Amino acid sequence: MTLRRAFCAVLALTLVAATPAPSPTPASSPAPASSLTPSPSPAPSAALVRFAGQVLDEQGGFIFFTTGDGFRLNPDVRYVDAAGNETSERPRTRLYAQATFDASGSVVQIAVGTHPFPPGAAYEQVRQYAVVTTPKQPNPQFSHPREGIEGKPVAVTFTVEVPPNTPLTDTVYLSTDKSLWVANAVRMDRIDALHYRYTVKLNSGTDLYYLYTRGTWTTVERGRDGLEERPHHLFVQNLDTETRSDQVYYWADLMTSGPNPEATFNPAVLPTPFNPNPFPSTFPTPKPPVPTPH
Amino acid sequence: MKRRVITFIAAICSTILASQQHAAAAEHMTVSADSLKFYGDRFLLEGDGNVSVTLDRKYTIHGNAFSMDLRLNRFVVGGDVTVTGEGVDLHGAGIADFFDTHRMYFIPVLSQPDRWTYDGTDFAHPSKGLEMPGDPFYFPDVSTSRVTVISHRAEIEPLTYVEFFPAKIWASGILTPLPSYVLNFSGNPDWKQNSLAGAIVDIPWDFAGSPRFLSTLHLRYDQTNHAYASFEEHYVASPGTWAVISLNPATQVNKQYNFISNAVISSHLQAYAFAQAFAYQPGFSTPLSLSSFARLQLTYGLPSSFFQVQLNQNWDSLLPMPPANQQDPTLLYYWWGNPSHPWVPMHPFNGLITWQGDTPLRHLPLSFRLRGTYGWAHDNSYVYYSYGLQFFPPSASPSFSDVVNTISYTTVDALVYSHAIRVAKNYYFTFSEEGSRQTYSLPHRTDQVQSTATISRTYGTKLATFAGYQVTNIADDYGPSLQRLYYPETTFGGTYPGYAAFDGFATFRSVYGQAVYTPNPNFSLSFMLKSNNNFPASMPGIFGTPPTQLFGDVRFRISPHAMVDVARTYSFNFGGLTWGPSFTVQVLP
Repeated sequence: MTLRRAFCAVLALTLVAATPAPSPTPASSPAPASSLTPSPSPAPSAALVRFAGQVLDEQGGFIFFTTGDGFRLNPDVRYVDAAGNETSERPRTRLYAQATFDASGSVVQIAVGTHPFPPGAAYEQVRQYAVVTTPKQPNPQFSHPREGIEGKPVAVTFTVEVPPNTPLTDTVYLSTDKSLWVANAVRMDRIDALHYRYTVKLNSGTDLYYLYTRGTWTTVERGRDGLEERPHHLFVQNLDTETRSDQVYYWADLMTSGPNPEATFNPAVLPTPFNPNPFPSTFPTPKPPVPTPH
Repeated sequence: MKRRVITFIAAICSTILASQQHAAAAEHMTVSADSLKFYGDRFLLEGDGNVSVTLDRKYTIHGNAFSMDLRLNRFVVGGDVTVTGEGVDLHGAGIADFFDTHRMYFIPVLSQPDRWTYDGTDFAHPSKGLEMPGDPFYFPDVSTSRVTVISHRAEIEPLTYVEFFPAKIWASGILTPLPSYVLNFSGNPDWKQNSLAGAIVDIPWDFAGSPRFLSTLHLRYDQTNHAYASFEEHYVASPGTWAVISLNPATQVNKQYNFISNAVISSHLQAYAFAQAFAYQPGFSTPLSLSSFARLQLTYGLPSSFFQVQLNQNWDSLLPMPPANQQDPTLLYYWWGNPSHPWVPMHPFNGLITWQGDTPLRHLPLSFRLRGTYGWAHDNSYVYYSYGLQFFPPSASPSFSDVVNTISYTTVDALVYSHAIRVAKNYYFTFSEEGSRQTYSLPHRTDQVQSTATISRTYGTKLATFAGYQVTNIADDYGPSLQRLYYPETTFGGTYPGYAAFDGFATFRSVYGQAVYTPNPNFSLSFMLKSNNNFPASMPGIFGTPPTQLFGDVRFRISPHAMVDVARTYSFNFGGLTWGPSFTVQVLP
């Protein structure tokens, strides 16, 4: 009994060691970091090794962590709560657990809780205890070019040069896939007559698609060839800051330049043969009036 | 010609419907669980209890918990997992599907665990022991995230949409039960094209979806129609090829039918069509008035220029001629229903072809833009009304022979503009000079010249200021003998004596000053002061803009996922205008 209390006390002391919560997964990183909390940690005793992680399942005499590793349970495995007290709670999906291994690699105690446990041994140290039927083989698919992306916050600055016929009182917006393409989701700040700027923190590894608008989809940007633009793409690198400079050649509603560019689009806007008077509604118009009822 | 426009629009519709360039079909999923919650701030769909996931309508995965990151496009099922269907019967601890890499990772539980990897849903050929990505079965911690949808079943088209049956929506602290709810999160912005006019309040409900269609009901409010409902249907065939139809309002007597579409015909050629019909129509009965407008626009892109053909057709009434008993006794006009719905047989057409190019001027911080347009407009005379494009020459009592039915015109427009030129440390200068001349087949031309110059200064990255001056001269020139016929002397009852001097030649001058303060990405404050000095002078409610206007805007973040934007305009009591009618408060993602 005394030994058992001492064991619980040691375990409790181990648990209260302050540790950060697992870092959140970057918005678009190729793979999340391991939820098995790594070193640094107190060196495990020669007899007992502990590590913590998120539970995937417990069945067939094994406990599985979300890394995909399954560890054999000792037939006399004990279940305790985060405070080290005996519990009827069993490891299940979404819960967190701290497993204690004996020298043979069997799990002799499992602490179960709803919050992450402090780290124990490094993942590499306990990986040897994972039970697998087939030896591990390297996966060539993982030699992707985005290795080293940490998901750290990066200050990304967008600067855009707008066409010279952009009305000086208009506002320019960024519409992005992350904001569900709301046309006026991100308002940009003017820095001179032709440039607007916006700075936002994005996690490295983020793939961002975006377009510039003047607040609606009828005022979205067009390319130099006059055609509808496909979204720009930004992949946020693992840098401290990143800048993106773009140029908008035309707006969809102001495609043709000129002091009154809408004239070619809207017959009601000056001056077209429909309304040759460039000062509408104000001065005598040569257009025959539409008859109105008496 | 109207037949040609209709034919063209029909051709675009056919092109859109025939477009089958959609990306490779993604796996369709159906997910059900005792509890299915969507966390809108992180795009996570979390299910617990009796989880069932059906893939491609062929394989079913059962488990205790489900998690899907809709943006990372992968899901995991954990806890007593079984996979069944088409010769497959597997049992394991967890399974994860990474759609983007077309891989499924599975932890089977046989006599002892193993690690199997599948190529898609090829369950017959597992790659055993293959290394898996880091933590592939991780369930995210959602304890601090916002639940926005609660449901029991969801249909998912990866990277496109999720549809919940039924759905309880958390919005503004209110839980709203709905029979279904679609969340379209596609990376294709074409889904967000819309055809509705502006409204003060707009509450959309996406109630049905498919990989190519999205049906939306809107509850709206505006000052003209008050509260009403609208319907909008989206169709997206492939990137850049889409169509939207709508009825707005759908529940008021004044209805507006809309159609907008864009079709990518080739890498250089795009077609855009737009049609609108305005109806006075109680319920869905035969309308008493029905007017329409249609536009077809073809754009052919070149490396630094483009050709554009545009056809515009108006129909002031699409209804047939009313019977004789709905005719004014003086035979001046007909109507449908009552005289407030006159039948107007006008149908003007306007077609034009434009070329426009943009090129930088070598070795200079300048660019040059040139545009040339040829246009042709036509409107038939109508014997009762003497319709047509205009009278020429103008007269207080024009005769039928003075009606002009057809006008052609050419426009030449040249623009030189600078990019930002650094004139001193942190000081930048820009200018543009533009001139255009539109010459009509009548003795009439319109010249416009606009000059703009600005100077700006930035103070680090937090404060930016700029000042600008713009002057526009417009000459509406009919020649000396006709000018005063079109612009007779008027002083508007003596209220605006300066107008006596106005004869079609106007000058508009504006001075701008703006300061933008952005101390951090979560806060921004900007002010712009604009002063206008025009000839002829502005008249409140009739012509021109207020002499002085102040625009203010403040933005600040209220949560990690929402910003508030408040914008107002002050007009310094011009015609009684003080604060602008629009008081914009936006909560943005």
